[in-house]
Amino acid sequence: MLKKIILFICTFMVIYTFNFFIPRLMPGDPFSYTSSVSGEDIDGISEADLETMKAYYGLDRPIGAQFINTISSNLNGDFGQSIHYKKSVIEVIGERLPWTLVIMISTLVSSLLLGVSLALVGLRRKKMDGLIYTTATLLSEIPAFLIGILLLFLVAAQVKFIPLSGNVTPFKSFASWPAYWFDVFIHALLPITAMVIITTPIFYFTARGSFLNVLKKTYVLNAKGKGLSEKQIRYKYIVLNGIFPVITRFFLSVGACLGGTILIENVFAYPGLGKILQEGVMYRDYVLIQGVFLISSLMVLTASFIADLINEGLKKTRGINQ
Amino acid sequence: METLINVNALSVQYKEGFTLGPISFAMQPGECLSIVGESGCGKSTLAKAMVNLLDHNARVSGEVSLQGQSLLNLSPQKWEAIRMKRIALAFQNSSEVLNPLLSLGEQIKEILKKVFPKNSVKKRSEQLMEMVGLNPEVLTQFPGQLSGGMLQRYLIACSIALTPQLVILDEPTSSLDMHTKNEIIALIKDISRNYGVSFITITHDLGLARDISEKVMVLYKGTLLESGNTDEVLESPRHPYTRGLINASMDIQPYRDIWGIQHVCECDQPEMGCPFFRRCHQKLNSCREHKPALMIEKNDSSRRIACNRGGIVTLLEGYDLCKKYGSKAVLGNIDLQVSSGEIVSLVGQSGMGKTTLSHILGGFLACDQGTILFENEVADFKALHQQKKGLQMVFQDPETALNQNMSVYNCIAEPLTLQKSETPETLWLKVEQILTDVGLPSSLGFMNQKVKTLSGGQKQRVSIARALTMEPKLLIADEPTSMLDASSKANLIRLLKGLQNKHGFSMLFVTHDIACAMKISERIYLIKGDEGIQEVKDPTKILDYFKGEAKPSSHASYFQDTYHQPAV
Ligand SMILES: Nc1ncnc2c1ncn2[C@@H]1O[C@H](COP(=O)(O)OP(=O)(O)OP(=O)(O)O)[C@@H](O)[C@H]1O
Ligand code: SF4
Ligand SMILES: [Mg+2]
Repeated sequence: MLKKIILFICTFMVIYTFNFFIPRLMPGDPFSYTSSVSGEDIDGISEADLETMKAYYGLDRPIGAQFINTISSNLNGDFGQSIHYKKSVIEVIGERLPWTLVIMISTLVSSLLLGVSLALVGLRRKKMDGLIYTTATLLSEIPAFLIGILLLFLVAAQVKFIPLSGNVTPFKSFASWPAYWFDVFIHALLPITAMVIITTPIFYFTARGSFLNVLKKTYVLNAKGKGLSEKQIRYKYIVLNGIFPVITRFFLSVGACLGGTILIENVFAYPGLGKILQEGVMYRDYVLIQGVFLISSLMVLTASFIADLINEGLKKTRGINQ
Repeated sequence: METLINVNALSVQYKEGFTLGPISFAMQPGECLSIVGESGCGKSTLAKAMVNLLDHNARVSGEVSLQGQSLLNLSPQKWEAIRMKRIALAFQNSSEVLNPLLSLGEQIKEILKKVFPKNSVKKRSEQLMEMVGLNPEVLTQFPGQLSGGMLQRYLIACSIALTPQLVILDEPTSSLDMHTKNEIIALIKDISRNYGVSFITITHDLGLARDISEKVMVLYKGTLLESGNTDEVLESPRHPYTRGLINASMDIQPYRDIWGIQHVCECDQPEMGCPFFRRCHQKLNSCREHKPALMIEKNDSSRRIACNRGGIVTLLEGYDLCKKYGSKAVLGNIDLQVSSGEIVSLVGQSGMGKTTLSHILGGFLACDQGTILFENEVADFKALHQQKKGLQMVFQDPETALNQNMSVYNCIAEPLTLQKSETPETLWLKVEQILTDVGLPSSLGFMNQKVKTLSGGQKQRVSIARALTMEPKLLIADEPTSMLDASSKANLIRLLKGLQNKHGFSMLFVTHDIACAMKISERIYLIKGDEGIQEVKDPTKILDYFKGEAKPSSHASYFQDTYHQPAV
């Protein structure tokens, strides 16, 4: 257990270091862009101004010093000011993260349920299994953004009440909470659908493989020999024993899902992390990029840590040693 | 009594190639049957076929009926109602028989609640645990937390939980210690006797089969080779394979040396013929094509065997042999048999005529009366000595038996040279091979050495090699180790036994050493001179006969003058 925690911390530190250096190694610097975005009609900024700004953000100092500085302020809970948004990074991310989470969590949960159900259907009917398997294989080959665009054209453009972009209808005041949530739901519907379409096959394949594996075990045959009903065997034997790889996959999919969400957000102009990351990269907003990466890697790492914990805990209580 | 279960021509064919059966048998209520055989012979397959638990890759044909109700084509729903209530199968123990994520209590509850009211389930599961000697606390534990033996007992408890009429136990005691094993056996016998429950026990432990069942079936490569009453089958097996199993089983041979059945490459195994063909030492050429059917024995209606030769054949028979030297009767009323592939020891006190009898049986001495048959015909010793597949003898004293001035090579090659059946090259190879077989160097230097330069143990090995070149069916060895020290003796005896096991010849082993006879032979004859001969069923008793009684009075008169009583 201690080993796991140490590993967790080490991984985090490596990522943290990369996270600091990579944006700084990208060509360009934040200030070449600052002016044009703010809309002011200035052709360029003077050398002196540039120096001032660099000094203000601490970018004039040697990179090592910047690194140490960043660590110490991070430890104090200060993740810096976004150069582009001119707000604290925490504030920017705090506004956007919940929207990304809405999509990610809905996606992961629905794909998990859908994937497992499909695997169960296939378990019972051989023909259906073949059909689902082929479809899932095909779907898993299509990139997420393509599905997003297709959905935009085929659904959003045709169906009136489904909006094309955004997270809530702007400037609208809502009579009640349910009305607000419905608006959120209807906006998130297409991005989530796109994400579910590409994520479900992952869970389906994992669940199917795992169930088929359990099916080979003697205890399933023994259960049949005990005269248990098919339903009892399916849930208390096959699903119970086969679900753990799926749950592990759930947590391990957080990274892939985050990546997908970031792309999809851009297709649907959904104001989540994806959007600020795109802008952050465009304007070389190191501080912001760093913040986004940090929160992302923290999410991914924590998820796989949880997956480990669940497996360990289960094995310990049930006396399984492998 | 109504037949409980009737299996008729049950046969299973796996897509991967293995075929079981057809197998037929019937069981009465309360009867216990064992199915024995080597690993992979299809025991578990048979069990699963009977309860309809085979995979899709198995094709099943034939018929199984339980109290008249045909089982094989029942719908899954009907089977659900029969399982555990009328037929139960306790699976071969492995770490995967039980659901690792459900507690043991939960898993036995699944069975019990099919029949018993909910509120009695807990009490019943606890009772069952106590019955098989487990602490009821295990019910809160998970399969991964129990030892193999505990799981095995738990599986037995599950199988009897709903009081079925037939319980099939697949290797029920393979991971139990002696004490627990005996308890389980007692429990099973008790249940069977008191409630008329029938048990089929699948095992490769012949000791378990002997203790637990009245009937036994011997399975080999999916074919039933022998069946009968357990005691009788184990006491006098009729099929060479059954005998091989018994010889390989420590469970029922407390003192005998253990020898497995020779493994051979399966390259020449005929598709059609007897499944035991490759490993059988009494096979005929016709066995290659003709698969023997399971037949009822002529003089024992409870015994069935599948062998083209009607089971183990008798090789040598002697009837009413008598021998006199002058007027002194040395041997009288000697009747004995040696079967193919067995080691028979001839023991007796010094001067009781062991060597005389062995010379008579070996054809080196004529007897005054009686007949000797070899393979059912009056023995023609001249032919048997000079031809291959006949009879050879190893004498007590190699000094006199071997021509001391011959080279080792000539001495061993002589019988084959006389026969003129070999070219010089093959002869050379044969001698080389046989020297290796008997554990002698096969170098040129050794072959050219004169026999007289060898040690006693080496000489005896040479005379064994000489006998073996003729590939005899019967080897008579007269005290072959009496001239040797303990270690050479042990080596030589193991060598002989190993060669016998490998080549499958029969051996008549003459010795005064009971311990040695007990170690290596399947049967022992005690020879009592002119009073005849007696087969010893329980060799441990024979020691008493040999102990003799010291007669204190007999020396008293001789010694009393010279030796003085020690002062007290
Ligand atoms: N499900 C299966 N599919 C294909 N072949 C099988 C299957 N189960 C067993 N076999 C084959 O059938 C033969 C008999 O196997 P079985 O398990 O009945 O042997 P067994 O006598 O019970 O052996 P053991 O004493 O080791 O348990 C083996 O050759 C095995 O490889
Ligand atoms: S004698 Fe023939 S039929 Fe009998 S066991 Fe040997 S090979 Fe099989
Ligand atoms: Mg088995």
